[in-house]
Amino acid sequence: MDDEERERVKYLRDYLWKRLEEEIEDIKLNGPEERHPANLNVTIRYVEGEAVVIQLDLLGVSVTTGSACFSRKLEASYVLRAMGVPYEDAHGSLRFGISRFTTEKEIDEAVSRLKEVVERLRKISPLGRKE
Amino acid sequence: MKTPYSQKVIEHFLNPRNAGKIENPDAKASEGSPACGDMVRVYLKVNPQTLVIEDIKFESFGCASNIATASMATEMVRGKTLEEAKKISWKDVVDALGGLPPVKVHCAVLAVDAIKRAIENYEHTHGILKEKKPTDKEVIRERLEHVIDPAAGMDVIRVGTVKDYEIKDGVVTVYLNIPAQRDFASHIKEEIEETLSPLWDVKEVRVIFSSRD
Repeated sequence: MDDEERERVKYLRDYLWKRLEEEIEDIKLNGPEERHPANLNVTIRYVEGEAVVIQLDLLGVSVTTGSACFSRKLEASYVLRAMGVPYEDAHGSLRFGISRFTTEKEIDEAVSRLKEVVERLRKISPLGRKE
Repeated sequence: MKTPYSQKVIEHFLNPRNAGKIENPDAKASEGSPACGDMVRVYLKVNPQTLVIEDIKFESFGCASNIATASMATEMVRGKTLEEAKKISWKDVVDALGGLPPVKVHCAVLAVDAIKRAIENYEHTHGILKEKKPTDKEVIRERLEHVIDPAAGMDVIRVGTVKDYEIKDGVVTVYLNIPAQRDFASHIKEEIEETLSPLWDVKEVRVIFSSRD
């Protein structure tokens, strides 16, 4: 990745995080601010990662998760655990990849589909309900 | 993406039956824990004359198979009597879904366990237990083994969150090894109260935290 590309990808990654924060409540960033420009790892509370990944995939958005349910060994991501992320948050983690071909419009689309999926899953979650 | 699930599982996952909550249920029960990435809660409405399950709803924090198995299991027991519902096994639920990947079979176990525990709670609180076994330490331990300490991702007995417990004149006291200020302390207290208070001869549940240090 050359400098120019790095800057562009980093800009898009930051744009993605800004949009996620604006659109989805109870979301947090995993890992430090200084990170690989093409990577964003977040936790969306009260929903489980595998469920989000499959629903998003059906809507044409590809992400991955550190949830135990997504791994063959049924163990939460050891990377997130080693970073001190609690089990509960690892299960709700999502990792986004950005490439040189990603556009802002695609990010907007992905965020709006994710929002839809999260709302649907939170509706049936026993956690985090505001009475 | 190729998922390891059958069409039927995906269909129930995307359009779950009986998802939601019943206000003022006749009984409820939870199994699993957010720390395990797998939790299901079941609510029941039962006709007191016929003992038919008139309404059942579930909430799930879990993966696709957790949601799909809870959807199918609740669908299978709805309209059945409590006795009929108790006969439905996790295997029946897996078969009805056209199979599950081996690592996901525990989701069906969790859903069926939650339903059975809710039925059991109904029997306790509505005086229709066949055998009124007095609550002893064994009964308490069995129930506490279903309460997960989210900090450890294991049950409170196994991980040692619970120091001791006793029952005297219908009052259950559970002594914890953690102070009230620790993370998830109030969550653990609520879960312990929720699982022990339906027992037919339990009048009160007290959860005692350790002192600060």
